[in-house]
Amino acid sequence: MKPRNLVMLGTKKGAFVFESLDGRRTWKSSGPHFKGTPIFHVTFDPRTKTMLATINNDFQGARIAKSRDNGRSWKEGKKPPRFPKASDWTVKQLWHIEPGVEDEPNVLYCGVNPAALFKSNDGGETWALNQGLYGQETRPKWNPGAGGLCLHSILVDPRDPDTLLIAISAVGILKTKDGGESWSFRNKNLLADFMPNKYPEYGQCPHHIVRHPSRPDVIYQQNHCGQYRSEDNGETWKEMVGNLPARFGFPIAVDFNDPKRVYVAPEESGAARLPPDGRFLVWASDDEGRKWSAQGSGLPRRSFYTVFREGMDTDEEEPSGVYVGTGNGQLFFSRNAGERWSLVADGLPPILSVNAASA
Amino acid sequence: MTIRIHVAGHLKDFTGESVDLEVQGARDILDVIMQLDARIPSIKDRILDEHDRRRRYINIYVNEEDVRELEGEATKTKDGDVIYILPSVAGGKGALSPEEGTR
Repeated sequence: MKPRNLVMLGTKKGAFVFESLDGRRTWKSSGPHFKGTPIFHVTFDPRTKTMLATINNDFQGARIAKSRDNGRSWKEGKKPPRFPKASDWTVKQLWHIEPGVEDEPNVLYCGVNPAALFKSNDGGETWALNQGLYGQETRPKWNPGAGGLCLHSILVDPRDPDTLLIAISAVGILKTKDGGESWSFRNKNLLADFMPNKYPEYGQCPHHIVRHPSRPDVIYQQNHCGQYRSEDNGETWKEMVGNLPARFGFPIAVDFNDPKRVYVAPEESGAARLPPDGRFLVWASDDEGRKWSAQGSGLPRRSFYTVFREGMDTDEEEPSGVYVGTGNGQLFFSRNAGERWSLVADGLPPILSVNAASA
Repeated sequence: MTIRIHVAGHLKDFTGESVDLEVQGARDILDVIMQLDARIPSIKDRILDEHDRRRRYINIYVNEEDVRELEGEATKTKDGDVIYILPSVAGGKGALSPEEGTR
């Protein structure tokens, strides 16, 4: 029996769910859910078979909703992430939601703007601020990037629930090994070419980080100033720009089956934020970013599409499917690791996140 | 002491068109919203942020006067007041009423 393949999109105007029951040959879609509302992230929690969405409604505050029927119906939690009254901070946006380790099925994490981490121990019904990060000693010197002071990436170590890596724009990578009691930077070798000191302790601008599921020490990063990989769970980073046409970009994805195969969608520069040479391409590497090749078959020959930081993902099939959603509302899919792309949907609102799952 | 509350836009999903609220000694707008929240859980969080400040795009009127021109959430209330809680993008949906369609 073929698995149920799900692709969840967060867009600027709601969430969409694409579902395939025939081995990803045809897709049925539903949406927009939360019509008109920016949905920064939709993901699937395989532990509880639950979809999770971050709803960034300017009018009634950011909230989290769950669906147990693959997006057909949604229910909000009781108390969304909110700062305690003593802080004087206000939650502006919920950027990313991340399930905890397998044997803690009720634990979820949420990264927000202004940069803070919230944890739920009851499957998203209620949330508590991580005080360790909130009180991190360098916090008064953190400054927002163009997208705000957002905590946008959370990597849980599947071997140890007390070890997490997070990424904050214009601040960098931080790690805790004590369940969030304390946090320290892991920005070694990461360039910040917009700073007087090009390799500071913090102030780098990671755009997205991903961990390989079966080799959890392998982490890839698309940074404002380049592409990087870590082979030691984020302790150190190696630059892997190689023959890519640009260092800048937002999304990065790793092949589900092959920890050495990685995908990016470079943009010309932080100033232009357009695909190099007026052609949108996904670039892939089979050797941990040493050598890259353009994967453009099936993509338009001339296009100025760009991809937001959560806009690319791979699925769990063999070979792993690759999905990329553009800021112009196209969803592309490749069933052969990027060799050939097909358009799944066009005319969607700007796509903010793409997540693939098998249910 | 009775205060009538009118809401619009997405808030109607939670309150209905208007709520007749019997408040006990409510001193101000914040007090009224707290009592509304006791009846309709989570409504306060949709009107005010975690520091009890009006969310962006939420407008509150007391007897048609904008609380921004009064004392904000601390605006005093009295028996018979009519409070309007109106998201600033509430309009534009559905057919015009006879009054709205006549100019």
